[in-house]
Amino acid sequence: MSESVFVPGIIASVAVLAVSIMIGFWARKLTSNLADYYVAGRSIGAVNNGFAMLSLSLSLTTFLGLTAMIIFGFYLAVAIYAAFTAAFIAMLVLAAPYLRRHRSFTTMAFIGDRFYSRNLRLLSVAIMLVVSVLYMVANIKGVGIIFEMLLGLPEFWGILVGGLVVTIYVTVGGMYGVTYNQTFQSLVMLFAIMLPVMIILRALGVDGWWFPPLGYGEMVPTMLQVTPHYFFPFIVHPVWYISIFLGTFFGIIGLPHFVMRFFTVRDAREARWSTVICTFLVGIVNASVYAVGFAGVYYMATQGVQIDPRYYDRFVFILTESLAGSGWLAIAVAGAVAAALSTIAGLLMIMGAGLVHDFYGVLRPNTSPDKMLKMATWVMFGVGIVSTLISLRPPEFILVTVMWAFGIAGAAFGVPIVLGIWWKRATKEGAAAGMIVGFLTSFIPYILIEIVGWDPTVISRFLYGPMGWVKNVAYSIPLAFIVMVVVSWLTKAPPLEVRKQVDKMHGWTDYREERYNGKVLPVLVVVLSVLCILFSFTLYDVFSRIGT
Amino acid sequence: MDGYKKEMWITVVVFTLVVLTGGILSVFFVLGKDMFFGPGPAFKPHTHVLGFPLHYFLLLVLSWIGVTVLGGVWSYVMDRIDKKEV
Repeated sequence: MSESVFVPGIIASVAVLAVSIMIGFWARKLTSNLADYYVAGRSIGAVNNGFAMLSLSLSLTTFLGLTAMIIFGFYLAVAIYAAFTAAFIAMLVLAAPYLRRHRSFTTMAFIGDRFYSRNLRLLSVAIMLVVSVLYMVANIKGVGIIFEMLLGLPEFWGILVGGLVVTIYVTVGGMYGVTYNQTFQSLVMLFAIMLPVMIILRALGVDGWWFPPLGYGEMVPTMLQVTPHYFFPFIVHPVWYISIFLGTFFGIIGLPHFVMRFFTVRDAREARWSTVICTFLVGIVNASVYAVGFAGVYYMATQGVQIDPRYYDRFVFILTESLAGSGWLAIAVAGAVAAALSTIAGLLMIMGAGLVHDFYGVLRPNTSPDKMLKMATWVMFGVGIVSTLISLRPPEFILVTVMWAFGIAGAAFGVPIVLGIWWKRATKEGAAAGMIVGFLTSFIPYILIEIVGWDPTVISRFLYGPMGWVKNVAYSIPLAFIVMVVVSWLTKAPPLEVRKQVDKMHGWTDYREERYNGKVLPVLVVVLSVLCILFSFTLYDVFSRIGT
Repeated sequence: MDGYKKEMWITVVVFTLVVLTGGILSVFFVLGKDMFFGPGPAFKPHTHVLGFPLHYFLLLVLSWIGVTVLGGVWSYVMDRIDKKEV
């Protein structure tokens, strides 16, 4: 890739950065109170929110991490993103419209309110910071990669400039700025990923180049000859896929920056349809990126090209430059910059809101709204600067860190959110126990494996095989479910006012005790969770261990 | 049927379908590998659709278009329940 400064790429990137800042300043005019700043006055429509969610979903991991993962993991990487795409519909049916009706600003406020506990709200802020920082550093690192490898500028400046630009437009424009920027960035990304992929497929002689998601089938016979194991789903144990399912389905519900988007829409109906729109768009983009990963493996195998594995993260750009030319590379770079900005913005927003609204606001409840608004602006600025500085020491592969964030969020937040919506009997003691167990059983392995550097198989034989650490989720999320249900049963039922919240979240204007209060759901959740853990450990050797 | 029960049942059915089609679909490909692939060590896919091995095609389509349709149906039904019951 570029050793010298890549001028077209710099022009395209500066254009994206400049428009983003302009949108931020324009959105400032729309912001007059805290609801405007945190949730865009709850005025966003389904289409706008669908596009904003798309750009939030397509972080730099889509442009950088996924192709690297496909080159390492073939079918396995595609399976991860397939589950991630489907997870949006799980979030739709289990959480989205109900969270919107709750009228909170953040996940932490929802947990504090639903589980009638100030301490749980404060604990949620701490967990949110861990999850968001993990997600954030991966994305800011991506901006550094773009600057260094694609634009010929030092990674340090990429991290600094990317971090500062987002900090400015989030601080100035609040959620209005973030939302309209995310919509703009979605359009840039769709254009910047789809067109270069079409050009790449066309250059490889594929007739179906005009529809990348399903257009590369004619390359399959050659691929089966040169890399026969590309399509093998069985090089991992079925537990691996169960982990992916649990991590993505409950992780997306647990990630506070995703959930925050539902608090911005007009009503539950808009929340529902925005998720459907987002799922369709995410599917198009992800399926197109699978085509790039496929083309990357195909290109290396058929052309005899060897690329240093350290640069697999950059494969979209390597292929674009080789097969489409530098003009298209500039566009792809602009798309990647847009992808990074949109995700970082969402994370900054939730971190700022969490610290001011859910931490300071809880400790100092009598602070005036004007003072809170001013404080939100300054704290957002401070969070942006600190996050940028943290990101100066980024992880090696960015998708790995994001996957850990999904697992931790699923266990610590996904579980109490789902049970809090669907089970009236869920108590604050149950939620606290479930959150703590979920967080510790997913965060401690992260520290041991990724920070201390332990081999996953040293921690547990169960973690063997390709990306074995992913399987950690197969017990952390079920364990959080079991603990939350059991402790809730053993403790005093929530007060009537809290139980009424559950009916209201589901849209009922009257109250009936029997709604969402049966025994079938909690029993089923515990049975499925126990089976999942048993399947993971006890039944582990029932299946053959092909390819491991 | 009572609106609450209708909401619960439809949600359970749709969620289960989403889990089967988008969540744990690959588990079936592992467990039923003889159905999708010939015997090892070659493991050649039996059936192709649009050039893709059947299991890969199913993964692409069900986890994207399949779940989007399920989400659309669920949202439509919930819109109707909202109008009728609340």
